[in-house]
Amino acid sequence: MPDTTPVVLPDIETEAESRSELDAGYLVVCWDDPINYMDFVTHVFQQVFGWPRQKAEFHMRQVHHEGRSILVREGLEKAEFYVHQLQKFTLHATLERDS
Amino acid sequence: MKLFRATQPALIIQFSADERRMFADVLLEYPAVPEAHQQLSRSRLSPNDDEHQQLLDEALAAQRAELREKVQLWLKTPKRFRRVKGGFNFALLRTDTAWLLQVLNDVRVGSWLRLGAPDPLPEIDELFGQPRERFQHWVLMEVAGRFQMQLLHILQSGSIA
Repeated sequence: MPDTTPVVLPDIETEAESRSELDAGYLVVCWDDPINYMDFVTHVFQQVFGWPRQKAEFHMRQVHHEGRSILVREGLEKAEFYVHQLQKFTLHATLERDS
Repeated sequence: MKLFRATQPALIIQFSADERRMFADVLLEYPAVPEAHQQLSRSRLSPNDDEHQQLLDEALAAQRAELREKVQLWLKTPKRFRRVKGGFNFALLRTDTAWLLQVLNDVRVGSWLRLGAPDPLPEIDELFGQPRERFQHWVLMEVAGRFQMQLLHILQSGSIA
């Protein structure tokens, strides 16, 4: 992923993340690739999930440094919807079972 | 390509004559990513995986058809680009920015795939002596990316509180 953004502080997940979200059985995962610009990935995360920039950048950096980031845990239908939205922007996103 | 003025419904963007031509050329390359390129999952999810993959393929194909038509209509709109001193202005509705970014990134990623999805991305001097077609893919990948980043920058600088 081409580096175009400044370093930002990591986002801290709040405990307010709902139990139903954690219990949901499917993960929306974004994978690293060398072609999507970091700024673009951040922008897409903001657009698709409605996240603030700091949270979107945290996940973008996780993709870049760790090879992937789990973006959300959801039920099948909603997770499929998110994967489709991300793929519309040609991000490398997939749906995985939460083991 | 730079922001000339930002209003609530639209961004007024200024192009040089060369940029205007290249911008249209890039948009006309859409779609560049092959059909059925995207996979729903890297693992086996359920016995209905094929059905889910088919639904995803159909949804993406419908989107491609819709965007291809939108690009054609958008470029054909009379007076889309208004001649001004030093180049052209065009009004980009903020509601049009999402699909425009999708189109530009499709062309960038599709050009990269045509190059064989190299990782890391090649520098231009690595393409010297290679077939002309590969050089064209590289240029398209870079130009689409340049417009994409400029548009993102314009969106960020043109935000209205």
